[in-house]
Amino acid sequence: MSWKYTLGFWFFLSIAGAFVYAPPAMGLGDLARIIFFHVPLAWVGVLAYLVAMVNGVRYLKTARPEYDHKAAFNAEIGLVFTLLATVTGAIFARHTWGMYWNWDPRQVSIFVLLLIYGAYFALRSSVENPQRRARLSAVYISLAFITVPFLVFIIPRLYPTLHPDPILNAERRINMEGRMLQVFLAFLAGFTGLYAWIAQLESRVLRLRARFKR
Amino acid sequence: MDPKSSASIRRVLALVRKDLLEEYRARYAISTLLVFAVTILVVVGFAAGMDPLPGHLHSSFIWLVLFFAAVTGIDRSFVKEEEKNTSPTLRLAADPDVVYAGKLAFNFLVLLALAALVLPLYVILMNPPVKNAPLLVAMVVAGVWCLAVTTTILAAIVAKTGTRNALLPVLSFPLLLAVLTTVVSGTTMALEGAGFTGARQELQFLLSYSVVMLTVSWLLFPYVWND
Amino acid sequence: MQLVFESVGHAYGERAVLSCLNWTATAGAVSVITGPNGSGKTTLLKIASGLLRPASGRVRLVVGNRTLEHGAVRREVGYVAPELGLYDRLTALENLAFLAAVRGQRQSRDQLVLQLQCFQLGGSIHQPAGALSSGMRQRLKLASALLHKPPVLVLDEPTSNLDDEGKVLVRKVVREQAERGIVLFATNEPLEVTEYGPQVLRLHPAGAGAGP
Repeated sequence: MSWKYTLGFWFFLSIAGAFVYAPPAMGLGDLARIIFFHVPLAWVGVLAYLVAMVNGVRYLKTARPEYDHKAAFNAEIGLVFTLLATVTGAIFARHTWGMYWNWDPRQVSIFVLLLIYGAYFALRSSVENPQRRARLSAVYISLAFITVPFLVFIIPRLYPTLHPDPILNAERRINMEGRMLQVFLAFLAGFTGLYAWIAQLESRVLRLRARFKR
Repeated sequence: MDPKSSASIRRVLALVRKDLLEEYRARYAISTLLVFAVTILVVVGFAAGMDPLPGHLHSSFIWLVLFFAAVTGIDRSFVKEEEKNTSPTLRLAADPDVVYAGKLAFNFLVLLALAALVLPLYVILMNPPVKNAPLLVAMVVAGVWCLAVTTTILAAIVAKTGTRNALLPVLSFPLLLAVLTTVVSGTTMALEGAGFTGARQELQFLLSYSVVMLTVSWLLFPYVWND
Repeated sequence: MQLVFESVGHAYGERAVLSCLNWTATAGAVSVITGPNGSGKTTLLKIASGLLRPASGRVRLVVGNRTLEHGAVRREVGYVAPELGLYDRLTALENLAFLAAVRGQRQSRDQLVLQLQCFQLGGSIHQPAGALSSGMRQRLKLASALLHKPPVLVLDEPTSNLDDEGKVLVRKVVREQAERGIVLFATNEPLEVTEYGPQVLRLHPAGAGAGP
């Protein structure tokens, strides 16, 4: 219960902060406010993928079904957040670079993440036997994980990027105005909290379902 | 060579021989692969017409043909064992390591045969400039090796799903994207006449990718193969 | 020599087929497994042969003072079952030669031919397995399951598609195997149950108990 209200209050403050408290960024103007949403969404998309992969590996080690359920619902959450990050990114791209999609390295990276999620669910939906489904999808998500470093290495060499600097840029200096940074960090914490809350609800549903079956 | 590893090499070779024999008699895989490859080749040829194409388009087309032909047919190697119910027989007789190594070797041979037929055909039909033929061959072999390493374990996964719908392209594309982009740029270099030193980074990349993929597949394959 | 089942249980999704089975099959006599359809006979045999990992419990093969667990049991088993296919495109001899080679056995061609002759397949050595009759396929499966002289022989309704001659052959094979090792024999033929007696495991749907 307290989760819900804390998160609601937190998001109320953060959203107000995003539009009222934080100043428009140099050069990008009001458009820059989208990063408050975009970057944390992408971050949760990647984080959920990691958690799903770790649970897949734990399933392979222990063969306990709860790890498979955890892997699956983390991937579901991750898919939604990644989709939202892609959409917010495309909106930003439309208004700064003139096109929704222009094969920027970061667009390609997030697109590959979407493809991996999509393939993961296509695989899950085509296996009947639950033990087998759990094993095959855990193997797949681990295989996909090890190709990520290769993509990170290869993609930036293919196309030049127009994407704004990462929050921590090459000189390891935080490149953001003070008030913007406060709001940004508030959103990062808020979205991570939202993810944790959804994941915790899903775990509770699983526990209850297991109890009622018995 | 110590007797234990030469014994396991003999087992792997027995599996490869069996698969080649079956392939020779039934042509499970190569017929699908080839028909598909020729179809895409003709479509690409019609689309491109007689205009001379730049090198990077030629190399993209070559890998378009090889990738899609590979992912449509290469899962036959495992699917046929499931369809004929021979996979439990094989599972009782052979260790997963032997099965993985044998199927990988067989898939690599099939894809090499495919490339050996498709590449000359492409050169004849599309007339690309080939300025460094040895590098082109090296690129194709390296790329086909990465295709084989990645698709072998995915084919084993697809065979276990039981749906048999076109799952392999969906599963393999995100995993192979890094390989495809690298091998396309390497092939472009070969067509445009770069030397081996110029394409060293590409070859190193493909090699390291395949080593990592091979190791992880080796570790994960028993989870796919055993029930 | 003993094949020990310790609280073995298995389920396909929600459907439990075996639960908490404790049973020991010993060498020297045939162990008959019987029970109606859906009582888990085939599942039990798959677990015994190492094809299927039980969801709970474990299976051990005790030979003298050596104990083998799941993965290692597989190599000591010869398994004949309807769901174990043959390579239809390969001839009878090629099937046998391939399975021997992939197991790591070194068998000469003459030994393989002799094995086929023992199972009354001498006339169809060079016929593709796909062209053999179901009775001949069954004999080829027996020949390949026994080629490596496994200590454990697992048979799933081995006589269901055999003629009288084939049934005599199975009887001989089972008697011989029982003298040097373990035989698990799943059947629903009352005659076979009484014939091979006294070690009988009767399975009941969704649950199991050892017979008298």
